[in-house]
This record gives sequence, C-alpha cells and structure tokens, in this order.
Amino acid sequence: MLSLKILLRALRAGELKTIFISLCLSVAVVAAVSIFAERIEKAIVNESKELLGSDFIVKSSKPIPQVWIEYAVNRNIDVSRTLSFASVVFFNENMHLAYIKAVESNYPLRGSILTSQLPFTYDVKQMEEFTSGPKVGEIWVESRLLPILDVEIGSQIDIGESSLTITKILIEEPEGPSFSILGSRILMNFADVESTNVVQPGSRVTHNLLVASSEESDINSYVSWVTEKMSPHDQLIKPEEAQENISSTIDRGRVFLLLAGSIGIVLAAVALAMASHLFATKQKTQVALLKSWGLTESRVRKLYVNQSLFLGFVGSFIGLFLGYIFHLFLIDIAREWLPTMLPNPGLQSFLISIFTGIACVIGFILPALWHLPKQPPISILKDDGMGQSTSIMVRLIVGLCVIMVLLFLYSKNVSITFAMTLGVLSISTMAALVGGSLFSIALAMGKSTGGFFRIGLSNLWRRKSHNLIQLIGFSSAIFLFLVLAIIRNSLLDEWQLQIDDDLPNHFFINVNEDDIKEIDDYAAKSKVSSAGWYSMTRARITSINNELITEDQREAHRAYDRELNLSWSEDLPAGNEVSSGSWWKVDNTESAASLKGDIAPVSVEHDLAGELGLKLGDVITFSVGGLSFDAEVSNTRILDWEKMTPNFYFLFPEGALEGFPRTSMTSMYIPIENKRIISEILREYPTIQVIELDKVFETIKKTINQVTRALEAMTVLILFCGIMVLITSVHLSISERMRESAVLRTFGCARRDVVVVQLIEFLALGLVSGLLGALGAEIAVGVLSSTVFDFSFKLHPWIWGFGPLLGMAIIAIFGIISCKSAISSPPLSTLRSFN
Amino acid sequence: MIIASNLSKSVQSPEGTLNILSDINLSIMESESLAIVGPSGSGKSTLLGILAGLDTPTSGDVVINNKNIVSMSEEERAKYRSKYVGFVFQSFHLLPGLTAIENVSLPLEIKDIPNTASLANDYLEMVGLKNRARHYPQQLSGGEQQRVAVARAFACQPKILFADEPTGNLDQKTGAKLSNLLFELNKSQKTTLILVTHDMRLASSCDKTLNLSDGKAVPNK
Repeated sequence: MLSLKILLRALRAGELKTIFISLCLSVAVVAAVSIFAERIEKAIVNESKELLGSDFIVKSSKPIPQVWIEYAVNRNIDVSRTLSFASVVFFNENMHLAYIKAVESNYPLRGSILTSQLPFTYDVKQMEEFTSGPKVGEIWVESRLLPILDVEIGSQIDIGESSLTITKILIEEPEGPSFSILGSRILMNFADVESTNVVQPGSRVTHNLLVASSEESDINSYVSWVTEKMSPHDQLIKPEEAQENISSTIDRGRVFLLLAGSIGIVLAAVALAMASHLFATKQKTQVALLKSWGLTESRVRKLYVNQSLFLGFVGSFIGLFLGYIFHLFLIDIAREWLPTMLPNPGLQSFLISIFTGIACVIGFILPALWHLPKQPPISILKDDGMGQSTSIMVRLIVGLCVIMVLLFLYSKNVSITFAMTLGVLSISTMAALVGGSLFSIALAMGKSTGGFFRIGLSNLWRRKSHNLIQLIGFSSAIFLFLVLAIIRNSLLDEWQLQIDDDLPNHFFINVNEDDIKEIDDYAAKSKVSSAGWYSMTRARITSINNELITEDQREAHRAYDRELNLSWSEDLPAGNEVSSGSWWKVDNTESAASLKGDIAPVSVEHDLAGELGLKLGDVITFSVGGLSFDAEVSNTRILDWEKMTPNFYFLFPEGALEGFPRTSMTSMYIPIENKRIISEILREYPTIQVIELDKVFETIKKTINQVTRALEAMTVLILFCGIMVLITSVHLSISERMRESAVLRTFGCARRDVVVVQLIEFLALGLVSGLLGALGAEIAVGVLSSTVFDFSFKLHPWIWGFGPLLGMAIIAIFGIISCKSAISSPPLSTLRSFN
Repeated sequence: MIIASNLSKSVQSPEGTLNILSDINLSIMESESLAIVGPSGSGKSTLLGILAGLDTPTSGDVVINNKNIVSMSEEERAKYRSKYVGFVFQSFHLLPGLTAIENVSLPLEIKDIPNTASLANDYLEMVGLKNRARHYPQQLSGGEQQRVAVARAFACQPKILFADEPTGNLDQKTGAKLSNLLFELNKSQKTTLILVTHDMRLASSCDKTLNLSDGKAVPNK
C-alpha cells in the first residue's frame, strides 16, 4: 500500500513521466503491430481460402478414396469433389479441346463463382456471383468457346456421349486453372460425368478433394490424418500457395512492419533504460532519507520492486489500449486493401504485449534501480557516501538479453533479432571504445581552440560517463532511423518497378505467326502496342539421359506430363541470373548453325531443374509434334517472377529450334477502357489465349500502396519513439547543464554565449552519434539485406553524411529547447533550486 | 542516555590513512542538548552520523539506553533509527514531488503510525505552517522549508533528534526563529537534541558543547 502511495505521488510529481511514457510506448508499438499483423495474416489466409474454394485441397491423379471422404463427413468436416480433364467438345461440325471441371453441388466450400449472361463482358454490373456450380444437364463456359464452336447461351454442346446446355458464361471460379491450359474452361456438374463416358480407367484426370471446416482444430487433425495416408500421387494444397503473386509483397511488407516494430521496441527500451537511470539518480537522496528513518534495505528493495511491477502492469495495460487504438488507425489507413470483415485477433498478441511490459520492467527498470537499496544512509549527510550504481556493462548485458528475447518473441525472425542486437551491440562497443577517445580528442581540440569551444568541448570530457550513456542513446536512435529509412527506400524502389503504370498487363499466347501483323494492327487502332513478340515451340520431355519418362515420373511432376514452352535467346534475358554453369556465347560466324544437328545446349530454370533433379551435362530429349531432339543442360537460371515479363523454363540459343513448328506470344499494356479489343481479337482468333493480369496487377498495386501507407504510419510512430530517446538523453544531464549555465551567467556570460557553449557540446555529440549510428546501420542493413529482404549487399555512402547531419540537427534543436528554461531563468533561482 | 567512548573513524586515501575522528568520548542525558561545533572538515557530521547510527566508527562504542549500536547489524541499527531517532538537515531534504503535509506524513507512514494526516497537520500547525500544508517545497521560502523539516522530524516523536547545521542555509533572523522553535519543541517533547552547527549563538543555547578540531575533541574556549 505504501509502495502504491509513493508511486502515485511520484507519478503525480512527474518523476516517472519518461519511464511511464517509454513503457506505454514500447507496449503500444508491440501491441499495434502484432494485433495488426495477426489480423492481416488471418485475413490473407481467409482470402486465400476463397481463392482455393476451401481450407485446403487434396489433389490426386487417382480417385479420392471413399474412406477419406467418410472420415471427414463423420467429423462434420465439409468436403466437395472436383474432377478436371481435357476433352474435345462438339457443336455440329465444330470441335475444341476444352479444359473441363466437374464439380459437386456444394462447390465451392469457400468463396464464389463469378458468371455473366453476356460473353466478353468486363462490366461488373453484368456479373453475378454464385455459391454453387451448374445444375445437372447444364454447363457454364468461358466466353471464347462461343466463337470457337459458334454457339450461344442456350445451345447444347456434346461432351462425350452427353449433350449439355450452356446456361452461363464462366468468368472466374475458385482453384482456377493454371495459365498453361490452352483450352477454354467449362464447368459442369459432377453427376453428369458418368453419362458423358469420357472418363475411363487410365484417362488423365485430376481429382481434387476440397475440405473446409469452421473449426481450425478439425482441419489440422484432418490434415495430419490425411497426410499420413497420402501416396506420391497425392498432393496437399494449402491456402498460402493460392496467392503467390501478392504474397511476396505482403510478406515483405509484414516483415518490414515487424522490423519497424522491432526498431520501436529497441528505441523504447533505450528510452526506458535511460529514463530509469535518470530516475535512479534522482532517487538516491530519497532512499538515503528513507533509510535514515529506519527503513531496512530489504524493505526499500521491496518498495521499488513493488512500484516497478505495479508500473509495469499499469503501463502494459495502458500501452495495450493505446496499441489497440493505433492498430485501428493502421487498419483505417489500409482499409481499401483489406477485406471488409477482418478476423478478430487472438489472445497471443495481447499476451505478448503484456509480457513486453513486464520484460521491460525486468530488463531496464529494475537493473537501473537495483543498487538503490544499498545506498548508505550516511549519504544523506555527506555526498561522498553515495552508493555505486550497477555497472553499465551488467545493465547493458541484461538489457541486450531482454531486447533479444523480446525481438525474437515478437518478430519470430532470427535474422531481425540478430541484426538489431548486433547493431546495438556494435554501437555500444564502439561508443565505449571510440567515444572515450573522441572525447579526449575533443578536449585536446578545445584546448587548442580556446574560448567557448574550449568550454563546450571540454564539457564532453568532463561529463564523460553521462555523455557515454547519452552517446549510446543518441546513436541507437540514429542507427535505427537509418535502418528503417534504408530498408523502406529499398522496398519502395523495388515495389515501384512493379507498379509502373505502363507495365504489360495482358499476355497473348498461342498466336500464329501469320496473325501477328493483324493483331498488331488491331492493337494500333486502339493506341495499344505490343512489347515485342517472342516465338516459342511447344514440346514434351520424353527422356532424360536416354531413360524414358515413366508413368510415376509423370504423376509426380507436371513438367513431364504436359507440353512445355521452349524459347530461344542469344543474350541472357533481363532479370535472369545464371545460378550454375555459364551462359553461351555464340560466335557470330559460327552462328546457330553450329548448334544444329548436334546436341543443343539448354538453359533450365533453377527451381525446375532442382525439382526434376537435372544437373549440368544431363541430356534431355524433347518431342515436338513427334520430332525428337536432344539438348544438354548447360546452365540454370534464377528468374524474377515479380517483373511480370515473359519468362521461359527452357531457353535455347538463337536458331537452335529453327525448323520446328512455333507459335508466338506477346505482352501488352491495355488500359481498362480499351479492354474491348481483347474480345475483338478473341472473336477473330479464338485459338489465341489471353492471360489477363490486369486484375492481379491492380491487386498488387493496391496492396503496395496500402502496405506503403501502413509503413509510413508505422514510421511516424517509430519517429515518436526516437524523439523520446533523444529527449530522455538530453534530460540525463539537464540539471548539470542548468547549474553550469547559471554559474556561467553569474560570472557575466551573456545568454547567447551560454547557448553557444551548449550548442557546441550538442553538435559534437550529434556528430559522433551520427557516425556511430551510420556504422550500426551499415552492419544491420548488411545482415537484413542478405537474410530477410533479399537485396543485394551494398554500402550506403549517403548515410555517413546524412547520419551526422541528422544527429547534429536533432540533438542541437532538442538540446537547446530542453535547456531553454535553464538558460532563460535568473541564475540565482536556478542555483537556489539545487540547494 | 547516550554514551560514546573512544570513537575513532579513519578512511584510506591515496595519501595513506586519514583520521577523521580520534578518540572521542561524550555522554548526554535524556532531554539534554548537545552542540557539536568546530571548523569545516573537523569531523562534526561524521560524529553526528555515527551517533545517529547512520555510519559506524572504525573503533569505539556508542551506547544508547544500554545498547551498543556499533555492534548491531545494519538491520538492527535501522530498527533503532526507526524507534528513537529524528533528523533535521542543513539542506532540508524535503521531497520536491510531495506537498508540505505529505513530506511530514511520509516517515509516519513508513513507521506505520496511524492517523498520519491529522498528526502531520498538528505538527505543521505547531511550526506555524498549517495554511501552507498543500504547498510544494519550491513554493516555500528556505525558512518555511526548514520548518516543514522540523515538523517532519518531531511528528515521529523521536527520543533523540539529530540536527545537521539546521540554520546553515538560513539568514540570521530566520535562523534565530528556527532555533527558538527547535528548542521549544525539544523542551515540550522532552527530546534529547544533538546538533552540529557553526552558529555559536545556537550552540550556546545547548546544555553542552563539544568542540572538534581535526577530528579531536578540544576544550571549549
């Protein structure tokens, strides 16, 4: 009770203001980011589930065993089967190899199917959403099938032995097909499959089992049960795999958010450590007084531990509340990009926040106060009896350990934890090693300059221990600012490349070479131009190192089971990076002729080579419409999939595939108002397939914009934390500065001269802090670039100029503002206040 | 009754052993007052601290009510201070975040004495500061601050009051007023008073005087 009373009085007197604000701030930062990140993550998973049509899918080349379905049904887990296959569809004389998906009546379990009654429409008002597929006897078809077969809605087309009626135009459905499918999509009822008689034993069919449940635990137990039963023919598709195109952006945004949050934690921790140090310094007299009245050491310790814990709990709850409010603000900023209904946060984020508060008390407040109960009571009579505080080294180690635990608990990312700790550690070490020497240099420089410079610079030496703590505080703040700025700029630069307005957003593939000119004319009429044409040849892999591809291999990897796009290039395409082997150099005189007849070199995409087990020197036999040729793997390439430019898994030297049938592809930027040219082209050339990436691009663009705005909001919060550190640092020595100013003014120094003395000291501190901050930032960014963000390593010369300038400007401004009262109040009143 | 015998205090310094107090002997009866006088650095405050149980001598004994506080543990000495001792300091040592009444109440609260507020109020009234009870130290003059400190010391009703230069920070007039107050309360509460002072007028008001020079007791002039 006494502890509480004293604590409340200290709070009222403002003695604990900085500690309390720092504590609330650190908890608020953790709470805001973890609640925000958790809700976003849950929302993304939910959205992915809608794209998947379920919570997860079991995909198989064999029929789904009945026992898997029964197991789920018995546990109230929803399941729905789909069957995908290619089949020729007929209408009168016309035929087309279509991609058919048969779905059960409860398909999809999550999300909806987008349809229309108007073919080739891009008008949202004309579209209708359905939560179940076509009825028995009906089919929903992709627009381009209509001109191909010359049919319309209401026509009956033949699939195998059955005639089914087109009732809707299919625009979009969950677990949509991959871009490699060239046939038009058709959705039919699962019950109609039998009557078509097209699926026979041995037919190439993909069986999917969609699974969903409102209980996450049921899903998890079913996943583990079914995983045990799965054979190499079966594959589990999880929601994370459904949104690969934006997941990288969101993931990096999330990691940046966690990094920013981590920076916030470190900043708030530094502010808290310094505020506690300041508080402890001021408490020495009180402790000596309490002990002179007979309070024992153990009671004094109990008093401060109780106060700290109480402060920790109250601060944590207030911080949690503030963090929750701030997370709502972050959500508001990113509202457009987020789903209307965000899932509620779990208990975990709240617990982490409260734990942060308590950990901060243990790591930063208690070590700073720990020595206080040992304060000898005689010190109330004699200054020379002041007790020694816990060594800075011990406090630094305890603080760093707590920072590491908090960072890891919060970011769950070893690299962030390591980079941040390494940064703080190197700054502290350098501050201790270099700081002392720099202060000595400053002293020597001061002596040689004289006047105010001498006073200002020699003050640095005189207040060495205070300045060392200040130096660590200042340079940590600058270091963290610089890390945030570098990573933020690098991310934004990279994202900006992805959201350039004129990036191609439509791909036209399977184009006949004879049709290229006319398609270009169509495009030109609408003031749209293609970004160049690429030729490609479709081929199957028939053997590797003269061993035929087996049925098992076909089932294990799609690359063995379908036609692949082969292309050619003399130079390594932009954005590609050779990961093994070397890119070919074709001598112009030998040209491609030298590659013909013999085994042609082939460059294979890095990941695919790994999945297929291809090594340099392996010989792949390709079959192009029955004609075979061999190619030797001469290098592997890493592709940049985020650039949305045409990428090829297999590349040959120019001319190596001459003589094989080829089709062409191009990409174009088509703005929404010109989208009608796509339907015009498709009506004229129904065999062309158009991959519309504009929606994906729009999503990416929106995501990037919103993530960027969330990052900016976060940066402001971090900026606030940084300013807290700076103000706290300045306050560490404020009373000494006040006393000094008063003495100088008593001796007749003008106010302006006192300001100059302080300014010189602050500028010198800012300069050293800026240099140390830049050093820490280079180290931490180096670690983060290579491990977390996948940026190429480079030095950042600008921070070596910007860091010290920032340090000098901010520290001088805040320093002078904080010392203002000392400089402007009459010297006598200042001196009296210290008696 | 307080008896100090053969008190010595020395510390190690870069120049060797430094004797702060050498062979001090004194005795003071209940309700008596003792002034410790001497030039700066003569060991006055050190002696006061040892007698109050805030510090320990290198050798010698301090016996208070038949108990030697030198041989006590720090915890036992804390109990002794809590039970018998009150303090008035030269620089007042009022806590700046607390009002006058809260400053007076604090040691009472620590000692778990009931009705702290009314008791504190009574003592503030005795020192003539009842109407300044809600004021913070920085809103009070030096003399008023020291009166609050005196109220705080007497509120605990100590058996022995130690005062370290109680008028040292006050002008002559205010100092005289404060010393009158100190002696009045000392008399009415039958407190034993031991004070350190440079002020010979204040010292002459005490029953006994101990003159220190270089840590040694010297005869009074």
